[in-house]
Amino acid sequence: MKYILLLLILSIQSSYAYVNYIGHGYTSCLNCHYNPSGGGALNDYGRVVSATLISSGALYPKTWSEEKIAYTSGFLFRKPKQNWFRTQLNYRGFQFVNNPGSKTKETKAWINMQFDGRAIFKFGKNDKFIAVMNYGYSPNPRNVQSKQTEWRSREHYLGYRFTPKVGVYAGLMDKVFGLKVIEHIAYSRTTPQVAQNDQTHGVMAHYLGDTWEGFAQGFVGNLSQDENVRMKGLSFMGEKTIYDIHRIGASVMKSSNTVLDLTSYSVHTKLNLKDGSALLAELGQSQYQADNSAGNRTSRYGLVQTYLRPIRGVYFLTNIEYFKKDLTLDPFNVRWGPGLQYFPIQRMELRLDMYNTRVFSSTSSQKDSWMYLLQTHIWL
Amino acid sequence: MRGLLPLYLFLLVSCQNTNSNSFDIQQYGSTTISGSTNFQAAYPILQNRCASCHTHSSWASYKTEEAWIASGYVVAGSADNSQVINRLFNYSSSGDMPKDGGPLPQSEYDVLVNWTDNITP
Repeated sequence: MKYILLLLILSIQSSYAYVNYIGHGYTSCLNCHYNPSGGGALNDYGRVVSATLISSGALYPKTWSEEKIAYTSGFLFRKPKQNWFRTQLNYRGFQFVNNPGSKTKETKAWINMQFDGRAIFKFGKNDKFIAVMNYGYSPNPRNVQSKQTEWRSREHYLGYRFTPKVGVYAGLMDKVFGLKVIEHIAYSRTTPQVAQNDQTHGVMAHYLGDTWEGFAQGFVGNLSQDENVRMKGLSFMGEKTIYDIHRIGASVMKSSNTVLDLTSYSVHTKLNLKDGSALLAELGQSQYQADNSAGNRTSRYGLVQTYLRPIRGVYFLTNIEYFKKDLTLDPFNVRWGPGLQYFPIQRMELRLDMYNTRVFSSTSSQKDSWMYLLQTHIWL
Repeated sequence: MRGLLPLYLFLLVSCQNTNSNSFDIQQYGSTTISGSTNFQAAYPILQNRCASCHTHSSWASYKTEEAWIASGYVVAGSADNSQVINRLFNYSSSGDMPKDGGPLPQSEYDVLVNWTDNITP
Protein backbone atom coordinates (compact mmCIF):
# COMPACT_ATOMS: atom_id res chain seq x y z
CA MET A 1 0.00 0.00 0.00
CA LYS A 2 2.73 2.45 0.90
CA TYR A 3 4.41 1.89 -2.45
CA ILE A 4 1.14 2.69 -4.19
CA LEU A 5 1.00 5.96 -2.28
CA LEU A 6 4.57 6.81 -3.20
CA LEU A 7 3.84 5.96 -6.82
CA LEU A 8 0.83 8.25 -6.65
CA ILE A 9 2.98 11.07 -5.31
CA LEU A 10 5.56 10.69 -8.03
CA SER A 11 3.26 10.07 -10.95
CA ILE A 12 0.39 12.53 -10.77
CA GLN A 13 1.46 15.64 -12.62
CA SER A 14 -1.52 17.90 -12.47
CA SER A 15 -2.06 19.53 -9.12
CA TYR A 16 -1.02 22.53 -7.10
CA ALA A 17 -1.80 24.41 -3.94
CA TYR A 18 -0.61 27.89 -4.81
CA VAL A 19 -0.89 29.04 -8.40
CA ASN A 20 2.87 29.06 -8.86
CA TYR A 21 3.07 25.30 -8.32
CA ILE A 22 2.75 24.97 -12.06
CA GLY A 23 6.53 25.25 -11.70
CA HIS A 24 6.43 21.76 -10.26
CA GLY A 25 4.61 20.56 -13.35
CA TYR A 26 1.12 20.83 -11.92
CA THR A 27 -1.41 22.68 -14.01
CA SER A 28 -4.85 22.14 -12.46
CA CYS A 29 -6.07 22.74 -8.90
CA LEU A 30 -8.33 19.74 -8.65
CA ASN A 31 -5.87 17.11 -7.56
CA CYS A 32 -4.75 19.07 -4.50
CA HIS A 33 -7.94 20.94 -3.59
CA TYR A 34 -11.53 19.87 -3.12
CA ASN A 35 -12.56 23.05 -4.92
CA PRO A 36 -11.39 22.63 -8.54
CA SER A 37 -10.79 26.38 -8.87
CA GLY A 38 -8.26 26.18 -6.04
CA GLY A 39 -8.01 27.64 -2.56
CA GLY A 40 -9.60 26.34 0.61
CA ALA A 41 -9.25 22.84 1.95
CA LEU A 42 -6.51 20.55 0.66
CA ASN A 43 -7.39 16.99 -0.16
CA ASP A 44 -5.26 14.05 0.97
CA TYR A 45 -3.01 14.25 -2.05
CA GLY A 46 -2.54 17.99 -1.61
CA ARG A 47 -1.43 17.45 1.96
CA VAL A 48 1.12 14.88 0.85
CA VAL A 49 2.51 17.23 -1.82
CA SER A 50 2.65 20.03 0.72
CA ALA A 51 4.52 17.84 3.22
CA THR A 52 7.01 16.47 0.74
CA LEU A 53 7.64 18.32 -2.49
CA ILE A 54 6.92 21.82 -1.21
CA SER A 55 8.42 21.80 2.27
CA SER A 56 12.10 21.60 3.11
CA GLY A 57 13.29 18.22 4.25
CA ALA A 58 16.31 19.62 6.11
CA LEU A 59 14.81 19.43 9.59
CA TYR A 60 13.85 15.76 9.44
CA PRO A 61 16.15 13.03 10.72
CA LYS A 62 18.23 11.69 7.84
CA THR A 63 16.67 8.28 8.32
CA TRP A 64 13.21 9.60 7.39
CA SER A 65 12.18 8.72 3.85
CA GLU A 66 9.81 10.80 1.71
CA GLU A 67 7.36 8.00 2.18
CA LYS A 68 7.48 8.30 5.96
CA ILE A 69 7.03 12.06 5.75
CA ALA A 70 4.06 11.58 3.44
CA TYR A 71 2.40 9.33 6.00
CA THR A 72 2.60 12.10 8.60
CA SER A 73 0.72 14.61 6.44
CA GLY A 74 -2.71 13.87 7.90
CA PHE A 75 -4.52 15.89 10.55
CA LEU A 76 -2.38 16.08 13.71
CA PHE A 77 0.26 13.97 11.93
CA ARG A 78 -1.98 10.93 11.96
CA LYS A 79 -2.95 8.63 9.16
CA PRO A 80 -6.75 8.83 8.69
CA LYS A 81 -8.63 5.78 9.96
CA GLN A 82 -11.53 6.18 7.57
CA ASN A 83 -12.15 7.62 4.13
CA TRP A 84 -15.28 9.66 4.64
CA PHE A 85 -14.29 12.49 6.99
CA ARG A 86 -11.38 14.93 7.17
CA THR A 87 -10.75 17.93 9.33
CA GLN A 88 -8.15 20.71 9.15
CA LEU A 89 -7.03 23.71 11.20
CA ASN A 90 -5.41 26.80 9.71
CA TYR A 91 -3.77 29.87 11.17
CA ARG A 92 -2.36 32.78 9.25
CA GLY A 93 -1.05 36.00 10.84
CA PHE A 94 1.34 38.73 9.89
CA GLN A 95 3.23 41.75 11.07
CA PHE A 96 2.29 44.63 8.85
CA VAL A 97 4.39 47.81 8.61
CA ASN A 98 3.30 50.67 6.42
CA ASN A 99 5.72 53.50 5.57
CA PRO A 100 8.52 52.10 7.78
CA GLY A 101 10.77 54.78 9.25
CA SER A 102 8.37 57.65 8.67
CA LYS A 103 7.81 59.75 11.81
CA THR A 104 4.31 60.73 10.78
CA LYS A 105 2.99 57.95 8.59
CA GLU A 106 4.43 54.70 9.96
CA THR A 107 1.78 52.24 11.04
CA LYS A 108 2.45 48.81 12.51
CA ALA A 109 0.09 46.06 13.45
CA TRP A 110 -0.01 42.35 14.04
CA ILE A 111 -3.01 40.98 12.20
CA ASN A 112 -4.53 37.59 12.85
CA MET A 113 -5.76 37.10 9.33
CA GLN A 114 -7.24 33.65 9.56
CA PHE A 115 -7.90 31.03 12.17
CA ASP A 116 -10.37 28.47 11.01
CA GLY A 117 -11.39 24.87 11.07
CA ARG A 118 -12.53 22.89 8.10
CA ALA A 119 -14.62 19.77 7.93
CA ILE A 120 -14.89 17.68 4.82
CA PHE A 121 -17.28 14.81 4.27
CA LYS A 122 -16.56 12.73 1.22
CA PHE A 123 -18.04 9.63 -0.24
CA GLY A 124 -17.56 7.45 -3.27
CA LYS A 125 -14.63 6.62 -5.46
CA ASN A 126 -12.25 9.54 -6.04
CA ASP A 127 -14.26 11.73 -3.64
CA LYS A 128 -17.28 11.64 -5.92
CA PHE A 129 -19.49 13.48 -3.43
CA ILE A 130 -18.09 16.09 -1.06
CA ALA A 131 -19.43 18.50 1.54
CA VAL A 132 -16.88 21.13 2.55
CA MET A 133 -17.40 23.50 5.45
CA ASN A 134 -15.26 26.20 6.94
CA TYR A 135 -15.78 28.20 10.12
CA GLY A 136 -13.49 30.43 12.09
CA TYR A 137 -12.04 33.84 12.75
CA SER A 138 -11.40 36.31 10.00
CA PRO A 139 -11.09 39.98 10.85
CA ASN A 140 -13.19 42.74 9.42
CA PRO A 141 -11.16 44.80 6.94
CA ARG A 142 -9.10 47.48 8.71
CA ASN A 143 -10.93 50.39 7.11
CA VAL A 144 -14.39 49.10 7.95
CA GLN A 145 -16.14 49.93 11.19
CA SER A 146 -18.40 46.94 11.47
CA LYS A 147 -20.19 45.49 14.41
CA GLN A 148 -20.65 42.12 12.81
CA THR A 149 -19.00 39.11 14.36
CA GLU A 150 -15.57 38.16 13.11
CA TRP A 151 -16.34 34.45 13.57
CA ARG A 152 -17.90 33.20 10.41
CA SER A 153 -17.83 30.84 7.48
CA ARG A 154 -16.02 31.74 4.29
CA GLU A 155 -17.00 28.68 2.37
CA HIS A 156 -19.45 25.83 2.58
CA TYR A 157 -20.49 23.88 -0.45
CA LEU A 158 -21.53 20.54 -1.80
CA GLY A 159 -19.86 18.95 -4.78
CA TYR A 160 -20.63 16.03 -7.02
CA ARG A 161 -18.48 14.70 -9.82
CA PHE A 162 -20.51 12.82 -12.39
CA THR A 163 -17.29 11.59 -13.95
CA PRO A 164 -13.65 12.41 -13.19
CA LYS A 165 -13.96 15.08 -15.87
CA VAL A 166 -17.27 16.70 -14.96
CA GLY A 167 -18.35 18.10 -11.62
CA VAL A 168 -20.95 20.45 -10.17
CA TYR A 169 -20.56 22.43 -6.94
CA ALA A 170 -23.13 24.48 -5.04
CA GLY A 171 -22.85 26.71 -1.99
CA LEU A 172 -20.65 29.55 -0.79
CA MET A 173 -17.43 29.67 -2.82
CA ASP A 174 -14.93 32.04 -4.34
CA LYS A 175 -15.90 33.55 -7.65
CA VAL A 176 -13.99 31.95 -10.49
CA PHE A 177 -11.97 34.61 -12.24
CA GLY A 178 -8.31 34.98 -13.21
CA LEU A 179 -5.31 33.87 -11.21
CA LYS A 180 -6.20 33.13 -7.61
CA VAL A 181 -2.96 34.54 -6.21
CA ILE A 182 -2.55 34.56 -2.46
CA GLU A 183 -2.10 38.37 -2.23
CA HIS A 184 -5.61 39.56 -1.59
CA ILE A 185 -4.52 43.21 -1.92
CA ALA A 186 -3.38 42.57 -5.49
CA TYR A 187 -5.10 44.89 -7.95
CA SER A 188 -5.97 41.79 -9.96
CA ARG A 189 -8.09 40.61 -7.01
CA THR A 190 -9.57 43.88 -5.75
CA THR A 191 -10.51 45.42 -9.11
CA PRO A 192 -12.81 42.61 -10.31
CA GLN A 193 -13.94 42.10 -6.69
CA VAL A 194 -12.56 38.61 -6.14
CA ALA A 195 -10.66 39.36 -2.92
CA GLN A 196 -10.57 37.47 0.36
CA ASN A 197 -14.13 38.29 1.50
CA ASP A 198 -15.87 38.20 -1.85
CA GLN A 199 -17.22 34.66 -1.75
CA THR A 200 -20.69 34.17 -3.17
CA HIS A 201 -23.46 31.62 -3.03
CA GLY A 202 -23.91 29.97 -6.37
CA VAL A 203 -23.47 26.96 -8.58
CA MET A 204 -20.28 26.12 -10.44
CA ALA A 205 -19.78 23.59 -13.22
CA HIS A 206 -16.29 22.31 -13.92
CA TYR A 207 -14.86 20.39 -16.83
CA LEU A 208 -11.38 18.91 -16.75
CA GLY A 209 -10.21 17.89 -20.20
CA ASP A 210 -6.90 16.44 -21.26
CA THR A 211 -5.50 19.76 -22.44
CA TRP A 212 -7.98 22.31 -21.18
CA GLU A 213 -10.14 23.11 -18.21
CA GLY A 214 -13.34 25.13 -18.05
CA PHE A 215 -15.47 26.71 -15.33
CA ALA A 216 -18.94 28.25 -15.50
CA GLN A 217 -20.45 29.80 -12.41
CA GLY A 218 -23.79 31.41 -11.72
CA PHE A 219 -24.03 33.29 -8.44
CA VAL A 220 -26.60 35.20 -6.42
CA GLY A 221 -24.32 37.07 -4.02
CA ASN A 222 -23.61 36.47 -0.40
CA LEU A 223 -26.96 35.53 1.12
CA SER A 224 -26.01 36.92 4.53
CA GLN A 225 -25.81 40.42 3.02
CA ASP A 226 -28.70 42.77 2.44
CA GLU A 227 -30.44 41.86 -0.79
CA ASN A 228 -29.74 45.22 -2.47
CA VAL A 229 -25.94 44.90 -2.32
CA ARG A 230 -25.65 41.23 -3.31
CA MET A 231 -23.79 40.90 -6.60
CA LYS A 232 -25.59 38.48 -8.88
CA GLY A 233 -24.14 37.30 -12.10
CA LEU A 234 -22.13 34.85 -14.15
CA SER A 235 -18.47 34.09 -14.60
CA PHE A 236 -16.59 31.89 -17.03
CA MET A 237 -12.99 30.86 -17.06
CA GLY A 238 -11.07 28.61 -19.41
CA GLU A 239 -7.47 27.44 -19.36
CA LYS A 240 -5.54 25.57 -22.01
CA THR A 241 -2.30 23.69 -21.60
CA ILE A 242 0.33 24.72 -24.12
CA TYR A 243 3.66 23.07 -24.88
CA ASP A 244 2.70 20.38 -22.34
CA ILE A 245 3.74 22.34 -19.25
CA HIS A 246 2.40 25.90 -19.51
CA ARG A 247 -1.08 27.31 -19.37
CA ILE A 248 -2.94 30.23 -20.86
CA GLY A 249 -6.39 31.29 -19.78
CA ALA A 250 -9.15 33.82 -20.11
CA SER A 251 -11.97 34.92 -17.82
CA VAL A 252 -15.08 37.00 -18.11
CA MET A 253 -17.50 37.95 -15.37
CA LYS A 254 -20.64 40.08 -15.32
CA SER A 255 -22.44 40.93 -12.12
CA SER A 256 -24.73 43.55 -10.73
CA ASN A 257 -26.67 44.73 -7.71
CA THR A 258 -29.18 47.54 -7.37
CA VAL A 259 -26.60 50.32 -7.85
CA LEU A 260 -23.64 48.84 -9.74
CA ASP A 261 -23.06 46.85 -12.92
CA LEU A 262 -19.59 45.36 -13.09
CA THR A 263 -18.11 43.69 -16.16
CA SER A 264 -14.60 42.24 -15.92
CA TYR A 265 -12.45 40.35 -18.37
CA SER A 266 -8.88 39.16 -18.22
CA VAL A 267 -6.26 36.96 -19.81
CA HIS A 268 -3.59 35.15 -17.87
CA THR A 269 -0.75 32.74 -18.21
CA LYS A 270 1.12 30.35 -15.94
CA LEU A 271 4.55 29.44 -17.20
CA ASN A 272 6.55 26.53 -15.83
CA LEU A 273 10.19 27.59 -15.47
CA LYS A 274 11.09 24.09 -14.24
CA ASP A 275 12.31 22.77 -10.90
CA GLY A 276 9.59 24.57 -8.98
CA SER A 277 10.10 27.99 -10.55
CA ALA A 278 7.26 29.75 -12.32
CA LEU A 279 6.15 32.97 -13.94
CA LEU A 280 2.54 34.13 -13.63
CA ALA A 281 0.94 37.03 -15.48
CA GLU A 282 -2.52 38.52 -15.76
CA LEU A 283 -3.91 41.52 -17.62
CA GLY A 284 -7.49 42.62 -17.11
CA GLN A 285 -10.07 45.36 -17.12
CA SER A 286 -13.21 46.09 -15.11
CA GLN A 287 -16.01 48.39 -16.20
CA TYR A 288 -18.03 50.02 -13.43
CA GLN A 289 -21.46 51.34 -14.37
CA ALA A 290 -22.92 53.06 -11.32
CA ASP A 291 -26.27 54.57 -10.47
CA ASN A 292 -24.50 57.85 -9.88
CA SER A 293 -22.40 58.94 -12.81
CA ALA A 294 -19.44 59.81 -10.56
CA GLY A 295 -18.80 56.13 -10.00
CA ASN A 296 -18.55 55.22 -13.69
CA ARG A 297 -15.11 54.19 -14.81
CA THR A 298 -13.05 51.53 -16.52
CA SER A 299 -10.05 50.28 -14.54
CA ARG A 300 -7.12 48.32 -15.94
CA TYR A 301 -4.64 46.18 -14.06
CA GLY A 302 -1.65 44.00 -14.74
CA LEU A 303 0.23 41.47 -12.65
CA VAL A 304 3.55 39.69 -13.17
CA GLN A 305 4.91 37.37 -10.50
CA THR A 306 7.97 35.19 -10.58
CA TYR A 307 8.74 32.41 -8.16
CA LEU A 308 12.29 31.11 -8.28
CA ARG A 309 13.15 28.01 -6.26
CA PRO A 310 16.87 27.71 -5.50
CA ILE A 311 16.43 24.80 -3.08
CA ARG A 312 13.53 22.76 -1.84
CA GLY A 313 11.31 24.71 0.57
CA VAL A 314 12.52 28.14 -0.54
CA TYR A 315 10.98 30.45 -3.14
CA PHE A 316 12.31 33.89 -4.07
CA LEU A 317 9.53 35.93 -5.48
CA THR A 318 9.03 39.20 -7.26
CA ASN A 319 5.71 40.91 -7.67
CA ILE A 320 5.05 43.68 -10.19
CA GLU A 321 1.63 45.25 -10.48
CA TYR A 322 0.17 47.97 -12.64
CA PHE A 323 -3.10 49.75 -11.93
CA LYS A 324 -4.93 52.53 -13.71
CA LYS A 325 -8.09 53.24 -11.80
CA ASP A 326 -9.70 55.33 -14.53
CA LEU A 327 -8.59 54.97 -18.15
CA THR A 328 -9.77 58.50 -18.91
CA LEU A 329 -7.38 60.00 -16.36
CA ASP A 330 -3.64 60.39 -16.42
CA PRO A 331 -2.33 58.84 -13.16
CA PHE A 332 -1.48 55.20 -12.70
CA ASN A 333 0.12 53.16 -9.94
CA VAL A 334 2.98 50.68 -10.08
CA ARG A 335 3.53 48.44 -7.07
CA TRP A 336 6.46 46.08 -6.97
CA GLY A 337 8.69 44.29 -4.57
CA PRO A 338 10.63 41.19 -3.71
CA GLY A 339 9.60 38.46 -1.34
CA LEU A 340 10.79 35.28 0.26
CA GLN A 341 8.68 32.23 0.99
CA TYR A 342 10.09 29.48 3.20
CA PHE A 343 8.51 26.19 4.18
CA PRO A 344 10.96 24.99 6.88
CA ILE A 345 8.91 21.90 7.61
CA GLN A 346 5.53 20.57 6.64
CA ARG A 347 2.56 22.63 7.95
CA MET A 348 4.55 25.82 8.28
CA GLU A 349 5.05 28.70 5.87
CA LEU A 350 7.07 31.81 6.65
CA ARG A 351 6.92 34.66 4.23
CA LEU A 352 8.36 38.14 3.81
CA ASP A 353 6.89 40.54 1.26
CA MET A 354 8.02 44.09 0.51
CA TYR A 355 5.97 46.50 -1.55
CA ASN A 356 6.91 49.82 -3.05
CA THR A 357 4.08 51.83 -4.59
CA ARG A 358 4.70 54.74 -6.92
CA VAL A 359 2.07 56.99 -8.46
CA PHE A 360 2.94 58.15 -11.95
CA SER A 361 1.36 61.42 -12.99
CA SER A 362 2.27 64.04 -15.56
CA THR A 363 0.94 66.85 -13.36
CA SER A 364 2.44 66.18 -9.93
CA SER A 365 4.97 64.09 -8.08
CA GLN A 366 4.57 62.21 -4.83
CA LYS A 367 6.76 60.30 -2.47
CA ASP A 368 6.72 56.54 -2.86
CA SER A 369 4.97 54.51 -0.22
CA TRP A 370 6.51 51.38 1.29
CA MET A 371 5.09 48.42 3.10
CA TYR A 372 6.34 45.08 4.32
CA LEU A 373 4.66 42.01 5.69
CA LEU A 374 6.11 39.20 7.79
CA GLN A 375 3.72 36.32 7.59
CA THR A 376 3.32 33.06 9.46
CA HIS A 377 1.04 30.35 8.20
CA ILE A 378 0.51 27.14 10.16
CA TRP A 379 -1.87 24.30 9.41
CA LEU A 380 -2.59 21.04 11.16
CA MET B 1 -25.90 12.11 5.77
CA ARG B 2 -29.21 13.51 6.97
CA GLY B 3 -27.63 14.18 10.34
CA LEU B 4 -25.25 16.63 8.71
CA LEU B 5 -28.00 18.83 7.33
CA PRO B 6 -28.54 20.99 10.46
CA LEU B 7 -24.80 21.73 10.64
CA TYR B 8 -24.72 22.64 6.98
CA LEU B 9 -27.73 24.93 7.31
CA PHE B 10 -26.17 26.56 10.37
CA LEU B 11 -23.04 27.38 8.41
CA LEU B 12 -25.10 28.55 5.48
CA VAL B 13 -26.53 31.46 7.45
CA SER B 14 -23.44 32.36 9.46
CA CYS B 15 -21.13 33.39 6.69
CA GLN B 16 -19.28 36.69 6.61
CA ASN B 17 -21.13 39.64 5.18
CA THR B 18 -18.51 42.36 4.75
CA ASN B 19 -17.18 42.27 1.24
CA SER B 20 -16.35 44.58 -1.65
CA ASN B 21 -20.00 45.46 -2.14
CA SER B 22 -20.93 46.26 1.43
CA PHE B 23 -20.89 50.02 0.82
CA ASP B 24 -22.10 50.06 -2.78
CA ILE B 25 -25.26 51.94 -1.90
CA GLN B 26 -23.25 54.81 -0.39
CA GLN B 27 -20.60 54.74 -3.10
CA TYR B 28 -22.55 54.06 -6.25
CA GLY B 29 -26.15 54.90 -5.36
CA SER B 30 -27.63 58.17 -6.48
CA THR B 31 -28.33 60.48 -3.55
CA THR B 32 -30.22 63.72 -3.44
CA ILE B 33 -28.02 66.17 -1.58
CA SER B 34 -29.22 69.42 -0.15
CA GLY B 35 -27.03 72.32 0.85
CA SER B 36 -24.96 74.96 -0.93
CA THR B 37 -24.30 74.76 -4.63
CA ASN B 38 -20.60 74.30 -3.86
CA PHE B 39 -21.30 71.32 -1.62
CA GLN B 40 -23.61 69.73 -4.16
CA ALA B 41 -20.77 69.97 -6.69
CA ALA B 42 -18.22 68.58 -4.23
CA TYR B 43 -20.27 65.68 -2.90
CA PRO B 44 -20.00 63.31 -5.91
CA ILE B 45 -16.24 63.84 -5.87
CA LEU B 46 -16.03 63.04 -2.16
CA GLN B 47 -18.18 60.01 -2.79
CA ASN B 48 -16.14 58.73 -5.72
CA ARG B 49 -12.60 59.70 -4.71
CA CYS B 50 -12.74 59.36 -0.92
CA ALA B 51 -15.62 57.19 0.26
CA SER B 52 -14.73 54.51 -2.27
CA CYS B 53 -11.83 53.50 0.03
CA HIS B 54 -12.88 55.08 3.32
CA THR B 55 -15.67 52.62 3.75
CA HIS B 56 -16.11 53.54 7.40
CA SER B 57 -19.79 53.69 8.17
CA SER B 58 -19.34 57.25 9.47
CA TRP B 59 -17.91 58.51 6.17
CA ALA B 60 -20.95 57.27 4.35
CA SER B 61 -23.13 59.35 6.67
CA TYR B 62 -21.44 62.69 5.88
CA LYS B 63 -24.13 64.03 3.60
CA THR B 64 -24.18 67.63 4.77
CA GLU B 65 -21.58 70.35 5.17
CA GLU B 66 -22.25 70.32 8.89
CA ALA B 67 -21.43 66.62 9.09
CA TRP B 68 -18.11 67.13 7.29
CA ILE B 69 -17.19 69.97 9.63
CA ALA B 70 -18.21 67.96 12.69
CA SER B 71 -16.03 65.09 11.46
CA GLY B 72 -12.95 67.33 11.73
CA TYR B 73 -11.88 66.61 8.15
CA VAL B 74 -13.16 70.00 6.96
CA VAL B 75 -12.43 73.40 8.53
CA ALA B 76 -15.00 75.90 7.37
CA GLY B 77 -13.49 78.61 5.21
CA SER B 78 -10.00 77.10 5.04
CA ALA B 79 -8.96 74.58 2.43
CA ASP B 80 -5.40 74.71 3.78
CA ASN B 81 -6.51 73.47 7.19
CA SER B 82 -8.97 70.90 5.91
CA GLN B 83 -7.59 67.36 5.87
CA VAL B 84 -9.89 66.48 3.02
CA ILE B 85 -7.76 68.91 0.97
CA ASN B 86 -4.30 68.93 2.54
CA ARG B 87 -3.92 65.15 2.51
CA LEU B 88 -4.36 65.08 -1.26
CA PHE B 89 -1.49 64.45 -3.66
CA ASN B 90 -2.63 67.63 -5.43
CA TYR B 91 -1.98 69.78 -2.35
CA SER B 92 1.71 69.04 -1.78
CA SER B 93 4.39 66.45 -2.33
CA SER B 94 3.74 65.10 1.16
CA GLY B 95 0.15 64.33 0.23
CA ASP B 96 -0.80 60.67 0.31
CA MET B 97 -4.39 60.52 -0.93
CA PRO B 98 -6.12 59.02 -2.79
CA LYS B 99 -4.07 55.84 -2.46
CA ASP B 100 -5.24 54.03 -5.53
CA GLY B 101 -5.66 56.66 -8.17
CA GLY B 102 -3.00 59.33 -7.97
CA PRO B 103 -3.84 63.04 -7.89
CA LEU B 104 -7.35 64.19 -8.68
CA PRO B 105 -8.05 65.86 -12.00
CA GLN B 106 -7.40 69.59 -11.50
CA SER B 107 -11.05 70.43 -12.15
CA GLU B 108 -12.20 68.14 -9.32
CA TYR B 109 -9.54 69.46 -6.97
CA ASP B 110 -10.64 73.03 -7.72
CA VAL B 111 -14.23 72.12 -6.87
CA LEU B 112 -13.17 70.78 -3.45
CA VAL B 113 -10.98 73.79 -2.68
CA ASN B 114 -13.69 76.18 -3.77
CA TRP B 115 -16.18 74.39 -1.53
CA THR B 116 -14.07 74.34 1.63
CA ASP B 117 -12.74 77.89 1.15
CA ASN B 118 -16.22 79.29 0.82
CA ILE B 119 -17.99 77.62 3.71
CA THR B 120 -19.04 80.38 6.09
CA PRO B 121 -17.41 79.68 9.46
